[in-house]
Amino acid sequence: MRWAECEPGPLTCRPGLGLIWALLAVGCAPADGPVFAWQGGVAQAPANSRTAVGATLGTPDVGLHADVFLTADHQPVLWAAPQLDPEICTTADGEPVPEDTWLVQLALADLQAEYRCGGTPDPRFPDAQTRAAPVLSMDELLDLLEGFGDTPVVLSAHTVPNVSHAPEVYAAEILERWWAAGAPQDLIIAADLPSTIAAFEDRAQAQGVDLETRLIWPRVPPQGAAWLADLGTASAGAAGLDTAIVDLEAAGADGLLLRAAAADRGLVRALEARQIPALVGPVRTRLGTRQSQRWPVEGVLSAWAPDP
Amino acid sequence: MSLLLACLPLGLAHAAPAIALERVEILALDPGTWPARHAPLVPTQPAMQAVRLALQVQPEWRLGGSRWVLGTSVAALSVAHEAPIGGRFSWTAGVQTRLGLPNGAFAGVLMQHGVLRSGVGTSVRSDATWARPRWDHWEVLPALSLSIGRRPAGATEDTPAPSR
Repeated sequence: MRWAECEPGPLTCRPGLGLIWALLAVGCAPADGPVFAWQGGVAQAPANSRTAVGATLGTPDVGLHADVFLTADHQPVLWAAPQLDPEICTTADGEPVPEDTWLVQLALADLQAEYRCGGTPDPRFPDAQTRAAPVLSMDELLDLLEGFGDTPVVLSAHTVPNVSHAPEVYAAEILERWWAAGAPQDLIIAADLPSTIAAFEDRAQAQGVDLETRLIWPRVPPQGAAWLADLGTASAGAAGLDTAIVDLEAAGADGLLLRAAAADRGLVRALEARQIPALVGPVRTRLGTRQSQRWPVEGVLSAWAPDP
Repeated sequence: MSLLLACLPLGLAHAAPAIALERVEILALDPGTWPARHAPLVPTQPAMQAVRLALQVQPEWRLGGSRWVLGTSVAALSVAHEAPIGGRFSWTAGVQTRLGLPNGAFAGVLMQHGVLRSGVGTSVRSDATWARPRWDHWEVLPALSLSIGRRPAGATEDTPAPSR
């Protein structure tokens, strides 16, 4: 048990409530926690794109995060949603993409031949670099990772009941590719459904591989408003009805990927005390990234990859 | 502690005619997490931290004109004892719960300024919940109090809390 979060020391915390409070407010720990470039660093380049991944891999001491979805022919591609996003994607001819363009109905070859994404500004990060390109496949990602064995990788497996392929298909397609490539990077699989976590854990166990998994918490249902999920989490957490640890234990994951809006220093300290690994993210601002880097977490998923 | 809570409804029923809303704590000593945990996040997540601030706003009810007060917020239900120290100052100490599940205690020193009252103190709390009722992790937090409300009956500028 500690008084506040400061390590005792002559220049950090001294007796006195006012000073301790002031140090708490500004944060007294160094902002040097590990950073993972969320979606390859979406604030600087198109999400999950070759451009973003390439920039991240060229940045020392920064891990890579990417989203993975499966196409109709079970090919993992770096994408976060069941559909192509008409705001950032067009057809190869530059025409608008219909809103109901489902990845699960497109084969990889058709997806890459017929559509381009990242050529228009991402509304979340309008100042980010734009470059139209086909959706990146996991095989292409593995090629890019060659020579960057020290870069840890977090892959978010996006399974959606009745919309995507089954979790077991995800586990097989993603892990078998990873193992076949002999990728030396530390791999963490993140997912928001316990069934997905279980599928990956089972697949790894069957191969005798120790796989790190993180439950994304709290879960935002597909088409659900993230702010509503965060509001529910804040209310339930305040009232003591729900905890991340309960959900983690139920899912059987090795740790948590805490959504930034649901995380605070108290929660991550409680996880640290129980030796539960935790990632935090996505964090969309530089200030938020620095704040989260002061927390005792294994990494911060940030839209802003630090400058090399 | 559980006995105390079990007896609370009986006590409330007995004191019901005299229960009165005395003040509203904008910042409450219990659970006391907002200043330390959430205020630093306001610049990056203002809406979420505003929600968390609202969840800890605590109507405070005095029980029967006594020195016992009941705090009722979403974030904490608490029973506390308040007593004068001298001048504008008083002290308070109490048990805090999450929807009735005891999860810690708090104490502080309060200072009256007319209808406003401020205070500093400490909150000792576990993360036990009804979903996970285990008291295996504790934290000690500095806590701030800021409230507004009517002055306790019989209180003067020098004796902010009532005595019986």
